[in-house]
Amino acid sequence: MRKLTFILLITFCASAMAQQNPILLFPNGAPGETLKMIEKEDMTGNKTAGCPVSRISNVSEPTITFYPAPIDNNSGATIIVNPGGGYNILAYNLEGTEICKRFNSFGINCVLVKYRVPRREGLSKHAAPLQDLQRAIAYTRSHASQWHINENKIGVMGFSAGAHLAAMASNSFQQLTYPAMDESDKVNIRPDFCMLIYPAYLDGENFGLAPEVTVSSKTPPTFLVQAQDDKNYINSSLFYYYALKEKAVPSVMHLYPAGGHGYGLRNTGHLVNEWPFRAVSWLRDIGMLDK
Amino acid sequence: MAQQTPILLFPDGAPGETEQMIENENPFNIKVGDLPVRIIADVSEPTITFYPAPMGNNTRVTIIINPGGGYNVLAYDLEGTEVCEKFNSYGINCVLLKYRVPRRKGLPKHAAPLQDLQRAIAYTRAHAEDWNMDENKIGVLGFSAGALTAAMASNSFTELTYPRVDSFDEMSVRPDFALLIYPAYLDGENFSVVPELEITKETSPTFLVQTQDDYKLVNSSLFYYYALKEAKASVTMHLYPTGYHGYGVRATGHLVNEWPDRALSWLKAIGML
Repeated sequence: MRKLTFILLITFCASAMAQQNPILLFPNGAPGETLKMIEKEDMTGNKTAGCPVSRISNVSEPTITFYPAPIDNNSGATIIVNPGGGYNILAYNLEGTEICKRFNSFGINCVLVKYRVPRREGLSKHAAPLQDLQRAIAYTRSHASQWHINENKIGVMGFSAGAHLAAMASNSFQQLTYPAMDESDKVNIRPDFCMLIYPAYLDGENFGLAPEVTVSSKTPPTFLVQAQDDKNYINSSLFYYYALKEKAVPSVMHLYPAGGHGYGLRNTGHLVNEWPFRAVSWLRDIGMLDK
Repeated sequence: MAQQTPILLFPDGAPGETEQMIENENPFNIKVGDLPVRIIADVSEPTITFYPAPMGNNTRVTIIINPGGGYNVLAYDLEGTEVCEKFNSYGINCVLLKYRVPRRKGLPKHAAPLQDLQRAIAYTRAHAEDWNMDENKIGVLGFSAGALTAAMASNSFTELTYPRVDSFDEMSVRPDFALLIYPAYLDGENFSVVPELEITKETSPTFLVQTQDDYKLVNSSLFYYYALKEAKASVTMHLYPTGYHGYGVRATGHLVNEWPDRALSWLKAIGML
C-alpha cells in the first residue's frame, strides 16, 4: 500500500515539461540591482494537496519562460503568469509551472514570470516586480508573430501578491516604470485581460482600494476568484470589483464558500478548485478564445 | 407538468386582507428569450403548488420558489413554473409560492409577501414526511423582488410575522439555505444593506448570482455578500459580465444562463445534495 501511495504521489506531483529556455528580461542587469543574489529553491516547506511547493527566493535576474500552446490547439491567446509569495518568495510550481501546463492544455500560451523577490529596501513592495512584469508584457507582445500568438490577446494572471502585481500592470500601463532598453519597449504594455486569483493587498480604507491601485475605464476586463475563508484578503476582490464596476470595466467575480489561500489549481477538495473552468468560459465570453 | 393542486396558505383569508381581488393574467405583454412571460397580478389569496421531484430521482432536497415582479406582479412562469421544472429534473422538490401582489398600502413592500413565505416554509416543513422530503433540507430561492423576500425569510425566522393559523406554525421557519438570483432592494449606502435585513451568523447559507449590467441592482449582491461575510454567515457569489435582469432559467445567450449548474455545485458543497 505504501509503495502504491508513493507511485501515485510521483504520478500526481511530477511533471512533464514543454517549456522553452528562460529568457533574461534585462540582459544588462535589472534596474537598480547592484549585486547579484544567489537564487534559492526550497522544496521542504508546507505542502499543498500532498505535493511539495517550490519556493524560490533571492531573485535578482528576472526571467520569463515561454510555454507554447500545443501546435494543433493554439488559440493564439496568451497568459502571463505571476506566482504569489507575499513579494518575499515565489510559489513557482504551485502558482507558476503547473498553471502554465494546465492552460496550455486549453490551447492557451503561457509566459511564466520569475520576478524579483524579496521586497527591495526603500522601494514599494511591488516596484521591482512591476518593472519585471511590464518588461515581460513588452517582450511577449513584441515577439507575438515569432511565437505564433495574437498580440491583441495577451493577458496577465496573478496569485495573491502576484495578483496585486497583475492589477498594478492593468492600471499603470501609460508609462514604463523602467528605462526603455530596446525595440521591445516600444510596444503597448496594456494587458488585454486580467485574472486575479485570491488577490492580496488591493483593498484600502472605507471600501476603497490601496492608493497605488488607480482604476480607470481603460482598465482591462477582469476576472476575480476568491474563497470566503481567505482570511482578510477577500476584501481585495470585493472592493476591486466594486471599483471596476463603478468605472464600467467589464468584470466577473466568483466567490466560493471555502478554500483558504494558496491552492493554485491543485485539488484541495474544495469547490473553488473548479476556477480554471470558470476562467476558460470567461475568456471565451470576452472573445479571447475565438480562433 | 407534474405539479399538484395549489394549496391555499390561509384558508380563512390571509392576514389583513379585507376584500378578495380578482386575479388578473397578463395585464401587459413581455417576452424573454423569444417566449412570452405569463404575468399574474392582483393576488389576495396566496397559494403554494408542490412540484415533486421524479419518483426515481428524489434527493429529498426542497426549494421554495419566489418569483419576482417588483412586488407589483409575479413573473409566474419565467421565475416560477419553469424554475420548478428545471430543478425537478435535478431531483430537487420545488414549492412554488404565489404571494400577494401588488404592494399593500401602508405596509412595507415585502410585508405581506414575507407572511406568505413564512407560512409556505412552515406548511412545507410540516408536510415533509407526507411529501417525501428531508425537513432539514428546505431552502428558499427568489428572483429580483422575490429575492428580497427570500433574504428577509433568511434573517427573520425567530418569530412569525403572521398570527398563528394551525399546528403547522409550530415548525421552524428558518430556511436551510437561500438562493438569491438577481436580487433587488437589498442595498443601502456604502456597502451596507437596508435596515430591515438583520444579518447574523445564523443567517441561512446564501448563494448569489447577478450580472454587472443589471442596472444599479448589482450592489444588492455585493453589499449583501459583504454583510454576510462580516457576520460570518456562509455565502457564495457569482457575478457575470452580462445578462441584464429577468432571465429566469431561459437561454438568453449570456454566460450567466449557466447559473443553475453553479447552484447545484453549491448545494453539493454545503452538504445539501
